[in-house]
Order: sequence, then C-alpha cells, then structure tokens
Amino acid sequence: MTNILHRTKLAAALCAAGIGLMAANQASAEVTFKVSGYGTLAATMTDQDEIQFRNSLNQSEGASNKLDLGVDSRLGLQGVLNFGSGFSITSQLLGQRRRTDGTPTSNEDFNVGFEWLFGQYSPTSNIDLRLGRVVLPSFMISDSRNVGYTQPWLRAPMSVYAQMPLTTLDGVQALWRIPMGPAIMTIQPSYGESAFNISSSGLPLKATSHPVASLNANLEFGDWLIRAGQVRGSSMLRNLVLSPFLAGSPLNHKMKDVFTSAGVQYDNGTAIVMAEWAQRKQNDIDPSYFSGAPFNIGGKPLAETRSWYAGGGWRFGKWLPMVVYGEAKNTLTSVKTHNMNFSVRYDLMNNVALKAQVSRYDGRDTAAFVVPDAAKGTVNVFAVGLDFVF
Amino acid sequence: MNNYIKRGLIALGLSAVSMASQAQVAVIMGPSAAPITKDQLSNIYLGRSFELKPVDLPEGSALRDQFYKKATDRDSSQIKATWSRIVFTGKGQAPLILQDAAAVKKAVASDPKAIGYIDKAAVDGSVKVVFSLD
Repeated sequence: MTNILHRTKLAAALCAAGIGLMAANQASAEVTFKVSGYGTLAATMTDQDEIQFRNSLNQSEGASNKLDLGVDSRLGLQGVLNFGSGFSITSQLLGQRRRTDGTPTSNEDFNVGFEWLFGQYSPTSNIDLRLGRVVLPSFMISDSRNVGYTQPWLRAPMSVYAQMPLTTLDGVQALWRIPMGPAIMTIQPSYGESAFNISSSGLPLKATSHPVASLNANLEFGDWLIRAGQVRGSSMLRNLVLSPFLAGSPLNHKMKDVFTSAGVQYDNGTAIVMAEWAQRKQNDIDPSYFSGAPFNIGGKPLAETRSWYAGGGWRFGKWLPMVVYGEAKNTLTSVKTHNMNFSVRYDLMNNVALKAQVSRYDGRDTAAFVVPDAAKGTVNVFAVGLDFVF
Repeated sequence: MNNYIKRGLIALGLSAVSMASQAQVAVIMGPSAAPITKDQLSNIYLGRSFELKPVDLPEGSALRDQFYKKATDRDSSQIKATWSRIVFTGKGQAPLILQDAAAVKKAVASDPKAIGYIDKAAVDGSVKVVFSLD
C-alpha cells in the first residue's frame, strides 16, 4: 500500500515537474486552482441487534439497532490545479469509516486518504490522458459513487456494488470521447495495480490486483446512458494470520479475476429508470501458467457471483421517491440473496438534498453484514441523511 | 395620488415579471458561428461534449432556470447534480458564470469557442443566434 502510494506520489511529482516546465514555456497560459467538496451526513440503524449493517466491504463495523453516524457518512475535498494548455493535476481526499490495513483492529470511524491523485494532459477537448491514482471504472456510477448529492438514492444497492471492491487504480488511464451524431461514446482504458482492505464474515483481508487492466465504454444519447465494461486482473486475497491453515480456499492464491458488467439508465428529467448487471469470476491460476500477465488461462473456479439490480423513480417537483430491487447469487454455492430499497430524495436547496431510505436485506448477505447470520431472516435498515456539494 | 403611483408601479412590476417568465431565450455564439442542434446544445450544457466552452448565468436567475428547463428538461437541482458528477469525476469544470447578458455577449463575441444564452430582446450585432428556445 505504502509502496503504491509512494509510486503514485512519485508519478504525480514527475507529472507536476513536467507540467511546470511546459507551463513556464506558455507565458500566456493562466494557472488556476479550484477547490470543491462533497459530503453526506447520515444516521443509520437496523431493527435487530447483534448484526451489523455496513455500506461497503471495507467496513468492519456497522449499524445495529442504535443510530450509527459512521456507516453512510463521508466527506470529500477536491483540488484541481489547472496549468492551461490542457495540463492539470487533480487530487481528491476522502474521509469515511473504513479498514486501514490487514490487522483486525484497524477499523477507523473517519479515515482520510487520497482517493485520487493524478496528472492529466488533454491534447484535444476529446482526449484526456491520466497518470497517477485514478478511478477504476467498474460500474455505471463508480466514479461518483461517493458523491451522494449526484445520486437519486441514499445508498447504492450493495448486491451489485459490493461485487467489485477495488475502486481506484494506480497507473495510467485514457478517456476518449467520440461524437457520433447526436450521441457521444466514451472509451476509457486503464492499466496499473490496485489494492483494497476488506472484511469478509469478520475476517480482515487485503485484496490486491497486480496487474489490473480495465476497459469501460459509455454511450450517451438524449435521455439514455448505456455502459459496458470489463476489469481483468491477477488478484490475490490475503490474511496474514489465517493463510497457512486455509490451503485450497481462495486465500493466498494468485487468481485470474474477470469482472464484467453492463448498465442502462434512462432519465428524462421526470422519470428515472436504472438497471445494472455484473458477473465476477475468480479462477485459480496454475503456477506453471503464471507469467505475470492478467490474461492467463484460469484453472479451478474459486469464486463466482452474478448480480443485478433494477429500479425506478418519479420526480414530483422537489421530491423523488424511488424503488430498487437487487439480487446477488454465488453460483458456486447457489446461495442467492436479495434486497428491496425504498428511498426518497428532497431537494432542500440548490446544493443540499435530504434523503431517507428503508432497505430490507437478507441476513445471509455477506456484502451487507459484517458477520452474516441466517437466523436473523430479513433485516430492515433505516437511514436518513443530508447530501451536499460546495 | 400617491396610491395611484404605487399601484401603477406594482402593475408595471407585475407585467415585467410576467414578461420575464415568457422571455424567449436565444443561444448565442460569435458572429461567424454556424447554427447548432438541440442535441448538441443539451450535450454541451449537460457536460457530455467539451468541444465548446459554455458560459452560464448566476444560479437563481430566472432566465437560467428557463434555459435549462427548455434545453434539457431539468431543474436547477438536477443541473447542479449533473455538473457535480462531472466535476467530482475529474471530467471537467462547470460552465463559467457571468453576471448578465452584456458579459455573456462580450465573452462569446471575443471567443469563437464560447457559447452562451441571453434574453432574445438583448441580442445585437456583436453575436449570432445559433439556436432559439421559445
């Protein structure tokens, strides 16, 4: 992790130096610095004790039947240093509840880290080239998932969004916009490495993907957005304490990891409909095949999930009620869990939205609960929150 | 007498308000620009296309709300959410905000890539109407 961060810092510094030189040559270029931010303050609770509901796989502490301000709350700060002539540096700091390393006691209620730190060069208005820590685009809203104000719901359906915990990538990324008549296609290839601390049924794990490559394509036309993408990596799940005793499990295996997803959104200003589908396959890599590339032939399947959600809402002036149904299936164990989400958004001010959400999750859901418990049956999760941008 | 003047002023004020709410919005660019389509216009102001540089009127301005409603079918909160998504994904910056029609005309007249919108009544020879929202 520190190694990755150091490399990112080095890359950003190199980029900054290069940009500085270029900028010095462009006496007319105007250097600007813009700071903006976003945040969510939310209180979350469930109707049962002894089970903890969480917002993300990287939380090892969640809400039970007492109000918890840590599950859905977060704060982000973004600075963009623009040197003109297409050169810029973007950094985004994010503070939220999350695990910080592989030790069991590392959960922090407000942990601040660099979500992004990249240098960007845009040779034309249709091409962005990035170097540093960038978003790993695996979902329809993966790049703005933390910015609650931009979303109709209070919390994205965990069934799909928990299947790919890696959110950022240290490496290179390009963004290419292709105008096609009234439509615009965006192609976004990325390459690098990625790491994430997760907690699975109470077990602290470190997920790494090195190398990881991703291709994301978006098509926007009128009120429609269609996207499809794939993330391929050589992944590993590690637990420093338990690993020697769990040979044969997905732990400490180099895995061929393929995550494929697609989504569609329709929003005409009044009606909104969204649906996404995702499949993740992790196969054992035979050491004799291993050559460091993410395109190895996979061996025995170690994990396989298929998930989807679909939902819709209707705007009545400043009110937006929405219903979303989500489902996740572990195709190796055939365990299927589903969730129902009812949410309402009220646009309080031009940069503040008030939200409430009631979700019903299956107690067996490994993504939603710190330690899943089949005996709990259906767990109701209540949350109210305030989303803002500034 | 005083009362009559007051009533007259109120009536004038009311008619000004009702005129403002029925204003025709002209989308303008520099004098040499070609007309654009409504799809292009909404792509520019919803942050999908960055080939042109959009300028905006201040948040809360009636003409701004009317422009977005007619051009994109979205209200000011939805526009704020759309641009927040673009800003916080590092894909671009929200349009430059200018105070009034005079500033918008000056900006588009001096930069062939700049595009703005004003009340149709404020259009003059320094700019060209590339799209009309009635």
